[in-house]
Amino acid sequence: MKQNKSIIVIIAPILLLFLTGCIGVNRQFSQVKDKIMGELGSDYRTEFQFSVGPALIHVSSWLVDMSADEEYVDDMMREISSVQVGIYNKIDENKDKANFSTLIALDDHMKKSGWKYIVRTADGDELTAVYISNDPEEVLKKMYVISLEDEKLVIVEVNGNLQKVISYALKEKKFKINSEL
Amino acid sequence: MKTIKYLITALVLTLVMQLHSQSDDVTKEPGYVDFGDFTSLEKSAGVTEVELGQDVLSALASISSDEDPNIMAILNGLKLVRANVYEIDDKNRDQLMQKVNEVDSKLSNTSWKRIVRTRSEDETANVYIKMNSNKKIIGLVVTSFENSGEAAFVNIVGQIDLATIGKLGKKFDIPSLDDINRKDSGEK
Repeated sequence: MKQNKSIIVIIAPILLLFLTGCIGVNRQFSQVKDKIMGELGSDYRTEFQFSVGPALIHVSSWLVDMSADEEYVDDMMREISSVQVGIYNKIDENKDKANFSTLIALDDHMKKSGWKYIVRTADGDELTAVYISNDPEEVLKKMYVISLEDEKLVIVEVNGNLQKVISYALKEKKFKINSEL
Repeated sequence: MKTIKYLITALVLTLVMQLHSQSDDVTKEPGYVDFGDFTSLEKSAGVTEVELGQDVLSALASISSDEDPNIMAILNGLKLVRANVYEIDDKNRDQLMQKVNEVDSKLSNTSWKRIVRTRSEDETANVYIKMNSNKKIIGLVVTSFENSGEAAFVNIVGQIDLATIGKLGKKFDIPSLDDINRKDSGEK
């Protein structure tokens, strides 16, 4: 009896983590990551890679609700169903630095995978691109944010009701399309 | 006989699909302007490109309606908002000024109408509109060049109301667009 309880205590949290998507990233994210790294032409070491499912986001929104001054942050988090994040460090520092042309070349790969950019910027050493799905049914339900600064590559996938996320950003922060100008 | 019927059906379907795909192609719209090749400017210190298609604009329209119904009306009529913005430095200054002049020359020789032109020592800005046979504005182009800042090339495709387009520029902080209402109509 004690042994059964121990097994349940051990397995339950692991199952919970898996069911809430709080371990690892899925295949689609990995495929997008591979395409990006392939286009960048450099080798990267994974510093951090994880996914956050609805359960953990919900819990996080409680904490944000208690700590954040602005109500919209908590409201925005309620609209997000899952987030996948990857942070990677460049290994080969001798390779040429990426520039805006890299983003354009990357766009070809992303288009073939069913993504289109809405914003892409190059500001000195920092490259950023935001992609949404080409599928009319999925528009503003899934978004990729790709950021490359110096030797660090960050890829974020956000799923949820992104219309509201953008709406809050517009309302509260006056989302600047020309924020990189 | 049956074979011929199937062939005709297949041909008609193919033609319908072709027409449908062309109608979705915003680059075929009369209000769309091809600014040309920006490849040589990609190495500028700061580059920003924005492209919001009809699907995104419609989605934004549906969420903007609560706070400002006018914004919804503006966004719903639009098919494309795109902007190319470049930070000006000594390496690209001449190229960007040339690009502004090229666009001006291109549009002036077509059915586009320049409604605003401002020139000063440090700044050049032009606004062009395209109208359809019903005198409705279906395209808008803004080019601007700030000597110590940025050069911007903005194209908006769709049904545009000049009186309210400035609101859109202000809402999304699109360069030059929020200034349209503040500049007098006609060339200066």
